[in-house]
Amino acid sequence: MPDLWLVALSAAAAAAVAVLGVIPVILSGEVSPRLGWANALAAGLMLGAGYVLRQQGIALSPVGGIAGSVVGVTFVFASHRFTNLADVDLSRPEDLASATVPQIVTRELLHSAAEGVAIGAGFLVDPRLGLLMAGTLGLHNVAEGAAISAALIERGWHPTKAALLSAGTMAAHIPAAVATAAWIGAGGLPWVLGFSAGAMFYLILVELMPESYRQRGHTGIAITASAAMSVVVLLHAILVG
Amino acid sequence: MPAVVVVLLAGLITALATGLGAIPFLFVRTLSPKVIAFSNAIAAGLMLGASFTLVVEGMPFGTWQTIIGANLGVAFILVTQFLLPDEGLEFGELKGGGAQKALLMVIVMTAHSFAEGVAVGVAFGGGESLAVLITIAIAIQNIPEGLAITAAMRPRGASIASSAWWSVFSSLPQPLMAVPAFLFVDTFAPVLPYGLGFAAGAMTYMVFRELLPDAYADATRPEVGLIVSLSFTAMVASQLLL
Repeated sequence: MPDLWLVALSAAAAAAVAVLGVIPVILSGEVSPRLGWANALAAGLMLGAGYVLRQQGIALSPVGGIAGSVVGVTFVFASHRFTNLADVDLSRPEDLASATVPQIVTRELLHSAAEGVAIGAGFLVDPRLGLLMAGTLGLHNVAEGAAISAALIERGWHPTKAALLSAGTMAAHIPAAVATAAWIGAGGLPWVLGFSAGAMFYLILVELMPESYRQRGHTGIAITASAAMSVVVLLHAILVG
Repeated sequence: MPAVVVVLLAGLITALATGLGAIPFLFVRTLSPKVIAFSNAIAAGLMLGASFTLVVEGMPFGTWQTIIGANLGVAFILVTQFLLPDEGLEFGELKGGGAQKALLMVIVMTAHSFAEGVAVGVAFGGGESLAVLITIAIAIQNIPEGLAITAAMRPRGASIASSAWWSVFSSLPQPLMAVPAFLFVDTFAPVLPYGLGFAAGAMTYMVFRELLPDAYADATRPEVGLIVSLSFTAMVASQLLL
Protein backbone atom coordinates (compact mmCIF):
# COMPACT_ATOMS: atom_id res chain seq x y z
CA MET A 1 0.00 0.00 0.00
CA PRO A 2 1.38 3.48 -0.80
CA ASP A 3 2.15 5.95 2.00
CA LEU A 4 -1.33 7.32 2.71
CA TRP A 5 0.03 10.54 4.21
CA LEU A 6 1.86 11.26 0.97
CA VAL A 7 -1.32 10.50 -0.99
CA ALA A 8 -3.37 12.85 1.22
CA LEU A 9 -0.75 15.61 1.08
CA SER A 10 -0.44 15.45 -2.70
CA ALA A 11 -4.21 15.51 -3.14
CA ALA A 12 -4.49 18.42 -0.67
CA ALA A 13 -1.79 20.39 -2.50
CA ALA A 14 -3.53 19.82 -5.84
CA ALA A 15 -6.79 21.10 -4.28
CA ALA A 16 -5.18 24.06 -2.49
CA VAL A 17 -3.71 25.63 -5.61
CA ALA A 18 -7.28 26.23 -6.82
CA VAL A 19 -7.22 29.42 -4.67
CA LEU A 20 -4.71 30.88 -7.14
CA GLY A 21 -7.48 30.92 -9.72
CA VAL A 22 -9.05 33.92 -8.02
CA ILE A 23 -6.04 36.15 -8.81
CA PRO A 24 -6.67 36.61 -12.55
CA VAL A 25 -10.37 37.11 -11.79
CA ILE A 26 -9.59 39.94 -9.31
CA LEU A 27 -7.12 41.51 -11.73
CA SER A 28 -9.31 41.48 -14.82
CA GLY A 29 -12.79 41.32 -13.28
CA GLU A 30 -13.72 38.26 -15.36
CA VAL A 31 -12.53 34.80 -16.34
CA SER A 32 -9.63 35.96 -18.48
CA PRO A 33 -9.49 34.43 -21.98
CA ARG A 34 -5.82 33.80 -21.19
CA LEU A 35 -7.04 30.94 -19.03
CA GLY A 36 -7.73 29.20 -22.34
CA TRP A 37 -4.00 28.41 -22.43
CA ALA A 38 -4.11 26.96 -18.91
CA ASN A 39 -7.15 24.90 -19.90
CA ALA A 40 -5.49 23.59 -23.06
CA LEU A 41 -2.29 22.83 -21.18
CA ALA A 42 -4.29 21.04 -18.48
CA ALA A 43 -6.30 19.16 -21.16
CA GLY A 44 -3.09 17.97 -22.83
CA LEU A 45 -1.46 17.00 -19.53
CA MET A 46 -4.61 15.18 -18.39
CA LEU A 47 -4.90 13.37 -21.73
CA GLY A 48 -1.27 12.31 -21.39
CA ALA A 49 -1.89 11.20 -17.80
CA GLY A 50 -5.08 9.43 -18.92
CA TYR A 51 -3.05 7.68 -21.60
CA VAL A 52 -0.63 6.38 -18.97
CA LEU A 53 -3.41 5.25 -16.60
CA ARG A 54 -5.34 3.55 -19.41
CA GLN A 55 -2.25 1.79 -20.69
CA GLN A 56 -1.40 0.54 -17.19
CA GLY A 57 -4.99 -0.62 -16.63
CA ILE A 58 -5.21 -2.46 -19.95
CA ALA A 59 -1.81 -4.07 -19.37
CA LEU A 60 -3.10 -5.50 -16.06
CA SER A 61 -6.48 -6.59 -17.44
CA PRO A 62 -7.86 -5.55 -20.85
CA VAL A 63 -11.45 -6.21 -19.73
CA GLY A 64 -11.08 -4.27 -16.47
CA GLY A 65 -9.23 -1.38 -18.15
CA ILE A 66 -11.80 -0.96 -20.93
CA ALA A 67 -14.93 -1.63 -18.85
CA GLY A 68 -13.60 0.64 -16.08
CA SER A 69 -13.21 3.50 -18.54
CA VAL A 70 -16.83 3.10 -19.67
CA VAL A 71 -17.89 3.28 -16.00
CA GLY A 72 -15.76 6.44 -15.59
CA VAL A 73 -17.40 8.15 -18.58
CA THR A 74 -20.84 7.14 -17.31
CA PHE A 75 -20.09 8.43 -13.79
CA VAL A 76 -19.17 11.94 -14.94
CA PHE A 77 -21.99 12.03 -17.50
CA ALA A 78 -24.50 11.01 -14.81
CA SER A 79 -23.10 13.50 -12.27
CA HIS A 80 -23.48 16.33 -14.78
CA ARG A 81 -27.04 15.23 -15.54
CA PHE A 82 -27.79 14.93 -11.81
CA THR A 83 -26.81 18.56 -11.22
CA ASN A 84 -28.61 19.76 -14.38
CA LEU A 85 -25.38 21.40 -15.49
CA ALA A 86 -24.54 19.00 -18.30
CA ASP A 87 -24.08 21.66 -20.97
CA VAL A 88 -23.04 24.62 -18.81
CA ASP A 89 -19.75 26.41 -19.36
CA LEU A 90 -18.93 28.11 -16.05
CA SER A 91 -16.54 30.53 -17.71
CA ARG A 92 -19.33 31.98 -19.88
CA PRO A 93 -21.48 34.67 -18.22
CA GLU A 94 -24.69 33.74 -20.06
CA ASP A 95 -24.39 30.11 -18.89
CA LEU A 96 -23.66 31.19 -15.34
CA ALA A 97 -26.95 33.00 -14.91
CA SER A 98 -28.84 29.69 -14.97
CA ALA A 99 -26.60 27.87 -12.45
CA THR A 100 -27.19 28.04 -8.69
CA VAL A 101 -24.37 27.88 -6.13
CA PRO A 102 -25.47 24.46 -4.70
CA GLN A 103 -25.59 23.09 -8.26
CA ILE A 104 -22.09 24.38 -9.01
CA VAL A 105 -20.68 23.06 -5.73
CA THR A 106 -22.27 19.60 -6.19
CA ARG A 107 -20.98 19.32 -9.74
CA GLU A 108 -17.47 20.36 -8.71
CA LEU A 109 -17.43 18.00 -5.72
CA LEU A 110 -18.33 14.98 -7.90
CA HIS A 111 -15.90 16.14 -10.58
CA SER A 112 -13.02 16.49 -8.12
CA ALA A 113 -13.85 13.18 -6.41
CA ALA A 114 -13.41 11.42 -9.79
CA GLU A 115 -10.07 13.19 -10.20
CA GLY A 116 -9.09 12.18 -6.65
CA VAL A 117 -9.59 8.54 -7.68
CA ALA A 118 -7.06 9.19 -10.48
CA ILE A 119 -4.49 10.49 -7.96
CA GLY A 120 -5.03 7.45 -5.72
CA ALA A 121 -4.83 5.07 -8.69
CA GLY A 122 -1.59 6.73 -9.80
CA PHE A 123 -0.06 6.10 -6.35
CA LEU A 124 -1.15 2.47 -6.48
CA VAL A 125 0.89 1.96 -9.66
CA ASP A 126 3.91 3.99 -8.56
CA PRO A 127 4.33 6.95 -6.15
CA ARG A 128 5.97 8.97 -8.94
CA LEU A 129 2.92 8.43 -11.16
CA GLY A 130 0.74 9.58 -8.24
CA LEU A 131 2.78 12.77 -7.88
CA LEU A 132 2.60 13.34 -11.64
CA MET A 133 -1.19 12.97 -11.49
CA ALA A 134 -1.46 15.39 -8.54
CA GLY A 135 0.72 17.98 -10.34
CA THR A 136 -1.29 17.70 -13.54
CA LEU A 137 -4.61 18.02 -11.74
CA GLY A 138 -3.26 20.92 -9.65
CA LEU A 139 -2.61 22.88 -12.82
CA HIS A 140 -6.09 22.07 -14.08
CA ASN A 141 -7.48 23.25 -10.72
CA VAL A 142 -6.10 26.76 -11.16
CA ALA A 143 -8.25 27.27 -14.26
CA GLU A 144 -11.16 25.48 -12.60
CA GLY A 145 -10.75 27.67 -9.48
CA ALA A 146 -10.87 30.78 -11.66
CA ALA A 147 -14.17 29.70 -13.23
CA ILE A 148 -15.79 28.89 -9.87
CA SER A 149 -14.46 32.06 -8.20
CA ALA A 150 -15.76 34.20 -11.04
CA ALA A 151 -19.17 32.55 -10.73
CA LEU A 152 -19.29 33.25 -6.98
CA ILE A 153 -17.90 36.80 -7.16
CA GLU A 154 -20.54 37.54 -9.80
CA ARG A 155 -23.12 36.56 -7.16
CA GLY A 156 -21.68 39.03 -4.66
CA TRP A 157 -19.28 36.74 -2.80
CA HIS A 158 -16.09 38.22 -1.35
CA PRO A 159 -13.05 37.09 -3.42
CA THR A 160 -11.42 35.42 -0.37
CA LYS A 161 -14.53 33.38 0.38
CA ALA A 162 -14.91 32.54 -3.32
CA ALA A 163 -11.30 31.34 -3.51
CA LEU A 164 -11.67 29.24 -0.37
CA LEU A 165 -14.88 27.61 -1.58
CA SER A 166 -13.17 26.81 -4.92
CA ALA A 167 -10.39 25.02 -3.09
CA GLY A 168 -12.97 23.49 -0.73
CA THR A 169 -14.83 21.77 -3.58
CA MET A 170 -11.50 20.44 -4.88
CA ALA A 171 -10.80 19.00 -1.42
CA ALA A 172 -12.94 16.03 -2.48
CA HIS A 173 -9.66 14.91 -4.08
CA ILE A 174 -8.36 13.98 -0.62
CA PRO A 175 -10.88 11.36 0.61
CA ALA A 176 -11.25 9.95 -2.90
CA ALA A 177 -7.49 9.59 -3.37
CA VAL A 178 -6.87 8.15 0.09
CA ALA A 179 -9.81 5.70 -0.12
CA THR A 180 -8.62 4.50 -3.54
CA ALA A 181 -5.04 4.05 -2.36
CA ALA A 182 -6.11 2.30 0.86
CA TRP A 183 -8.89 0.01 -0.30
CA ILE A 184 -8.31 -0.96 -3.90
CA GLY A 185 -6.59 -4.33 -4.24
CA ALA A 186 -4.86 -5.91 -7.20
CA GLY A 187 -8.15 -7.17 -8.65
CA GLY A 188 -9.77 -3.75 -8.64
CA LEU A 189 -6.73 -1.80 -9.84
CA PRO A 190 -7.29 -2.14 -13.63
CA TRP A 191 -10.90 -1.06 -13.12
CA VAL A 192 -9.88 2.00 -11.10
CA LEU A 193 -7.19 2.92 -13.62
CA GLY A 194 -9.71 2.58 -16.45
CA PHE A 195 -12.30 4.56 -14.45
CA SER A 196 -9.87 7.45 -13.90
CA ALA A 197 -8.82 7.52 -17.55
CA GLY A 198 -12.43 7.42 -18.79
CA ALA A 199 -13.64 10.07 -16.33
CA MET A 200 -10.78 12.46 -17.19
CA PHE A 201 -11.22 11.88 -20.93
CA TYR A 202 -14.91 12.78 -20.71
CA LEU A 203 -14.22 15.84 -18.52
CA ILE A 204 -11.65 17.09 -21.00
CA LEU A 205 -14.16 16.73 -23.83
CA VAL A 206 -17.10 18.42 -22.12
CA GLU A 207 -15.28 21.10 -20.16
CA LEU A 208 -11.66 21.86 -20.96
CA MET A 209 -11.53 21.62 -24.73
CA PRO A 210 -14.69 23.55 -25.64
CA GLU A 211 -13.84 26.25 -23.08
CA SER A 212 -10.29 26.67 -24.33
CA TYR A 213 -11.39 26.75 -27.99
CA ARG A 214 -13.82 29.52 -27.15
CA GLN A 215 -11.18 31.45 -25.21
CA ARG A 216 -8.21 31.04 -27.53
CA GLY A 217 -9.18 29.72 -30.99
CA HIS A 218 -8.18 26.42 -32.55
CA THR A 219 -4.57 26.25 -33.76
CA GLY A 220 -2.77 27.40 -30.59
CA ILE A 221 -4.98 25.20 -28.44
CA ALA A 222 -4.38 22.15 -30.67
CA ILE A 223 -0.60 22.67 -30.55
CA THR A 224 -0.57 23.26 -26.78
CA ALA A 225 -2.70 20.20 -26.02
CA SER A 226 -0.72 17.89 -28.36
CA ALA A 227 2.64 19.05 -26.99
CA ALA A 228 1.51 18.81 -23.34
CA MET A 229 0.25 15.30 -23.95
CA SER A 230 3.62 14.16 -25.27
CA VAL A 231 5.43 15.79 -22.31
CA VAL A 232 3.47 13.71 -19.76
CA VAL A 233 3.92 10.47 -21.68
CA LEU A 234 7.66 11.17 -21.91
CA LEU A 235 7.91 12.22 -18.24
CA HIS A 236 6.17 9.02 -17.20
CA ALA A 237 8.50 6.91 -19.34
CA ILE A 238 11.56 8.66 -17.86
CA LEU A 239 10.38 8.73 -14.23
CA VAL A 240 8.60 5.41 -13.94
CA GLY A 241 9.82 3.50 -17.01
CA MET B 1 3.44 -18.80 -53.47
CA PRO B 2 6.53 -16.73 -52.60
CA ALA B 3 6.37 -15.07 -49.18
CA VAL B 4 6.67 -11.59 -50.72
CA VAL B 5 3.56 -12.14 -52.85
CA VAL B 6 1.67 -13.35 -49.79
CA VAL B 7 2.61 -10.20 -47.89
CA LEU B 8 1.65 -8.00 -50.86
CA LEU B 9 -1.72 -9.74 -51.32
CA ALA B 10 -2.38 -9.59 -47.61
CA GLY B 11 -1.67 -5.87 -47.66
CA LEU B 12 -3.98 -5.33 -50.65
CA ILE B 13 -6.83 -7.14 -48.95
CA THR B 14 -6.37 -5.02 -45.85
CA ALA B 15 -6.40 -1.85 -47.98
CA LEU B 16 -9.64 -2.85 -49.73
CA ALA B 17 -11.24 -3.57 -46.36
CA THR B 18 -10.78 0.11 -45.43
CA GLY B 19 -13.38 0.98 -48.10
CA LEU B 20 -15.99 -1.00 -46.16
CA GLY B 21 -15.91 1.74 -43.56
CA ALA B 22 -18.00 3.90 -45.91
CA ILE B 23 -20.93 1.44 -45.82
CA PRO B 24 -22.72 2.79 -42.71
CA PHE B 25 -23.09 6.09 -44.55
CA LEU B 26 -25.28 4.39 -47.17
CA PHE B 27 -27.95 4.38 -44.48
CA VAL B 28 -27.56 8.03 -43.53
CA ARG B 29 -29.55 9.84 -46.18
CA THR B 30 -29.68 13.41 -44.95
CA LEU B 31 -26.60 15.23 -43.70
CA SER B 32 -28.18 17.56 -41.16
CA PRO B 33 -25.86 19.77 -39.06
CA LYS B 34 -26.39 17.34 -36.16
CA VAL B 35 -25.38 14.31 -38.27
CA ILE B 36 -22.30 16.22 -39.45
CA ALA B 37 -21.33 17.09 -35.87
CA PHE B 38 -21.83 13.47 -34.77
CA SER B 39 -19.75 12.22 -37.72
CA ASN B 40 -16.92 14.52 -36.74
CA ALA B 41 -17.15 13.28 -33.14
CA ILE B 42 -17.05 9.63 -34.28
CA ALA B 43 -14.01 10.33 -36.48
CA ALA B 44 -12.33 12.17 -33.57
CA GLY B 45 -12.86 9.25 -31.17
CA LEU B 46 -11.72 6.61 -33.66
CA MET B 47 -8.59 8.58 -34.55
CA LEU B 48 -7.67 9.27 -30.92
CA GLY B 49 -8.15 5.54 -30.24
CA ALA B 50 -5.91 4.63 -33.16
CA SER B 51 -3.27 7.12 -31.96
CA PHE B 52 -3.33 5.61 -28.48
CA THR B 53 -2.64 2.14 -29.91
CA LEU B 54 0.11 3.46 -32.19
CA VAL B 55 1.94 5.04 -29.23
CA VAL B 56 1.53 1.86 -27.14
CA GLU B 57 2.98 -0.08 -30.10
CA GLY B 58 5.82 2.38 -30.64
CA MET B 59 7.03 2.83 -27.05
CA PRO B 60 8.71 -0.60 -26.67
CA PHE B 61 10.79 0.19 -29.77
CA GLY B 62 11.95 3.51 -28.29
CA THR B 63 10.31 6.11 -26.02
CA TRP B 64 12.20 9.17 -27.25
CA GLN B 65 11.87 8.10 -30.85
CA THR B 66 8.08 7.68 -30.53
CA ILE B 67 7.66 11.07 -28.83
CA ILE B 68 9.98 12.85 -31.29
CA GLY B 69 8.01 11.21 -34.10
CA ALA B 70 4.73 12.44 -32.58
CA ASN B 71 5.92 16.05 -32.40
CA LEU B 72 7.25 15.81 -35.96
CA GLY B 73 3.78 14.58 -36.97
CA VAL B 74 2.19 17.69 -35.42
CA ALA B 75 4.75 19.94 -37.13
CA PHE B 76 4.17 18.16 -40.45
CA ILE B 77 0.42 18.88 -40.39
CA LEU B 78 1.02 22.48 -39.31
CA VAL B 79 3.36 23.06 -42.25
CA THR B 80 1.11 21.20 -44.71
CA GLN B 81 -1.89 23.21 -43.56
CA PHE B 82 0.11 26.43 -43.95
CA LEU B 83 1.18 25.45 -47.47
CA LEU B 84 -2.25 24.28 -48.66
CA PRO B 85 -4.30 27.27 -49.84
CA ASP B 86 -7.69 27.87 -48.20
CA GLU B 87 -9.17 29.38 -51.32
CA GLY B 88 -9.30 27.87 -54.78
CA LEU B 89 -8.22 24.38 -53.68
CA GLU B 90 -10.06 21.50 -55.37
CA PHE B 91 -10.02 17.93 -54.13
CA GLY B 92 -12.31 15.51 -55.98
CA GLU B 93 -15.73 17.15 -55.96
CA LEU B 94 -14.79 19.41 -53.03
CA LYS B 95 -13.71 23.03 -53.19
CA GLY B 96 -12.25 25.61 -50.77
CA GLY B 97 -12.05 25.06 -47.00
CA GLY B 98 -13.87 21.70 -47.12
CA ALA B 99 -11.38 20.48 -49.75
CA GLN B 100 -8.45 21.54 -47.58
CA LYS B 101 -9.74 19.65 -44.52
CA ALA B 102 -10.66 16.52 -46.51
CA LEU B 103 -7.26 16.50 -48.24
CA LEU B 104 -5.48 16.92 -44.90
CA MET B 105 -7.51 14.03 -43.51
CA VAL B 106 -6.44 11.77 -46.42
CA ILE B 107 -2.79 12.89 -46.03
CA VAL B 108 -2.87 12.14 -42.29
CA MET B 109 -4.47 8.72 -42.73
CA THR B 110 -2.08 7.86 -45.57
CA ALA B 111 0.91 8.78 -43.39
CA HIS B 112 -0.62 6.56 -40.72
CA SER B 113 -0.81 3.65 -43.18
CA PHE B 114 2.86 4.04 -44.07
CA ALA B 115 3.71 3.51 -40.40
CA GLU B 116 1.23 0.63 -40.06
CA GLY B 117 2.61 -0.98 -43.22
CA VAL B 118 6.10 -0.99 -41.71
CA ALA B 119 4.65 -2.43 -38.49
CA VAL B 120 2.93 -5.20 -40.48
CA GLY B 121 6.07 -6.03 -42.45
CA VAL B 122 8.23 -6.13 -39.32
CA ALA B 123 5.62 -8.35 -37.61
CA PHE B 124 5.47 -10.72 -40.61
CA GLY B 125 9.26 -10.83 -40.53
CA GLY B 126 8.92 -12.76 -37.31
CA GLY B 127 7.37 -15.77 -39.10
CA GLU B 128 4.78 -16.61 -41.76
CA SER B 129 2.64 -19.05 -39.81
CA LEU B 130 0.32 -16.37 -38.46
CA ALA B 131 0.04 -14.61 -41.84
CA VAL B 132 -3.66 -15.32 -42.46
CA LEU B 133 -4.66 -14.42 -38.93
CA ILE B 134 -2.69 -11.17 -39.00
CA THR B 135 -4.19 -10.23 -42.39
CA ILE B 136 -7.74 -10.81 -41.17
CA ALA B 137 -7.01 -8.84 -38.01
CA ILE B 138 -5.59 -5.85 -39.87
CA ALA B 139 -8.37 -5.92 -42.47
CA ILE B 140 -10.99 -5.74 -39.73
CA GLN B 141 -9.00 -3.09 -37.90
CA ASN B 142 -8.92 -1.00 -41.09
CA ILE B 143 -12.72 -0.84 -41.37
CA PRO B 144 -13.15 1.70 -38.54
CA GLU B 145 -10.29 3.71 -40.06
CA GLY B 146 -12.30 3.87 -43.30
CA LEU B 147 -15.28 4.88 -41.19
CA ALA B 148 -13.19 7.69 -39.68
CA ILE B 149 -12.17 9.00 -43.10
CA THR B 150 -15.74 8.80 -44.44
CA ALA B 151 -17.10 10.40 -41.27
CA ALA B 152 -14.72 13.29 -41.83
CA MET B 153 -15.14 13.58 -45.63
CA ARG B 154 -18.92 13.16 -45.97
CA PRO B 155 -19.77 16.24 -43.88
CA ARG B 156 -17.48 18.27 -46.14
CA GLY B 157 -19.48 17.30 -49.22
CA ALA B 158 -17.68 14.20 -50.56
CA SER B 159 -19.84 11.43 -52.05
CA ILE B 160 -19.90 7.96 -50.44
CA ALA B 161 -18.11 6.44 -53.45
CA SER B 162 -15.30 8.96 -53.33
CA SER B 163 -15.03 8.65 -49.52
CA ALA B 164 -14.71 4.86 -49.99
CA TRP B 165 -12.09 5.29 -52.71
CA TRP B 166 -10.00 7.69 -50.64
CA SER B 167 -10.30 5.30 -47.69
CA VAL B 168 -8.83 2.50 -49.81
CA PHE B 169 -6.23 4.88 -51.25
CA SER B 170 -5.13 5.94 -47.77
CA SER B 171 -4.42 2.28 -46.91
CA LEU B 172 -2.44 1.47 -50.07
CA PRO B 173 0.89 2.35 -48.41
CA GLN B 174 0.28 -0.62 -46.12
CA PRO B 175 1.13 -3.29 -48.74
CA LEU B 176 3.70 -1.00 -50.37
CA MET B 177 5.59 -0.55 -47.10
CA ALA B 178 4.89 -4.01 -45.68
CA VAL B 179 6.89 -5.77 -48.42
CA PRO B 180 10.20 -3.89 -48.05
CA ALA B 181 9.80 -3.89 -44.25
CA PHE B 182 9.26 -7.66 -44.35
CA LEU B 183 12.32 -8.17 -46.58
CA PHE B 184 14.60 -5.82 -44.65
CA VAL B 185 13.36 -6.10 -41.08
CA ASP B 186 16.71 -5.01 -39.62
CA THR B 187 16.72 -1.78 -41.65
CA PHE B 188 13.13 -0.85 -40.94
CA ALA B 189 12.79 -1.81 -37.28
CA PRO B 190 14.76 1.23 -35.98
CA VAL B 191 12.56 3.65 -38.00
CA LEU B 192 9.34 2.07 -36.74
CA PRO B 193 8.89 4.06 -33.48
CA TYR B 194 9.43 7.37 -35.34
CA GLY B 195 6.83 6.35 -37.91
CA LEU B 196 4.27 5.16 -35.37
CA GLY B 197 4.78 8.31 -33.27
CA PHE B 198 4.57 10.52 -36.37
CA ALA B 199 1.23 9.01 -37.37
CA ALA B 200 -0.14 9.30 -33.82
CA GLY B 201 0.94 12.95 -33.50
CA ALA B 202 -0.49 13.90 -36.90
CA MET B 203 -3.82 12.23 -36.12
CA THR B 204 -4.08 13.72 -32.63
CA TYR B 205 -3.36 17.22 -33.93
CA MET B 206 -5.95 16.75 -36.69
CA VAL B 207 -8.53 15.79 -34.05
CA PHE B 208 -7.77 18.85 -31.89
CA ARG B 209 -7.47 21.31 -34.76
CA GLU B 210 -10.30 20.25 -37.06
CA LEU B 211 -12.60 17.46 -35.93
CA LEU B 212 -13.40 18.46 -32.33
CA PRO B 213 -14.14 22.14 -33.04
CA ASP B 214 -16.43 21.08 -35.91
CA ALA B 215 -18.15 18.57 -33.63
CA TYR B 216 -18.82 21.22 -30.95
CA ALA B 217 -20.27 23.57 -33.56
CA ASP B 218 -23.60 21.73 -33.87
CA ALA B 219 -23.77 19.21 -31.03
CA THR B 220 -24.03 19.73 -27.28
CA ARG B 221 -20.92 19.13 -25.22
CA PRO B 222 -22.29 16.00 -23.49
CA GLU B 223 -23.19 14.58 -26.92
CA VAL B 224 -19.66 15.18 -28.18
CA GLY B 225 -18.19 13.85 -24.92
CA LEU B 226 -20.18 10.62 -25.07
CA ILE B 227 -19.68 9.94 -28.79
CA VAL B 228 -15.93 10.64 -28.72
CA SER B 229 -15.44 8.63 -25.50
CA LEU B 230 -17.40 5.63 -26.77
CA SER B 231 -15.86 5.55 -30.26
CA PHE B 232 -12.42 5.95 -28.66
CA THR B 233 -13.12 2.99 -26.36
CA ALA B 234 -14.53 0.91 -29.22
CA MET B 235 -11.41 1.56 -31.31
CA VAL B 236 -9.02 0.66 -28.46
CA ALA B 237 -11.07 -2.45 -27.61
CA SER B 238 -11.21 -3.64 -31.23
CA GLN B 239 -7.47 -3.17 -31.68
CA LEU B 240 -6.80 -5.01 -28.43
CA LEU B 241 -9.04 -7.90 -29.45
CA LEU B 242 -7.27 -8.21 -32.78
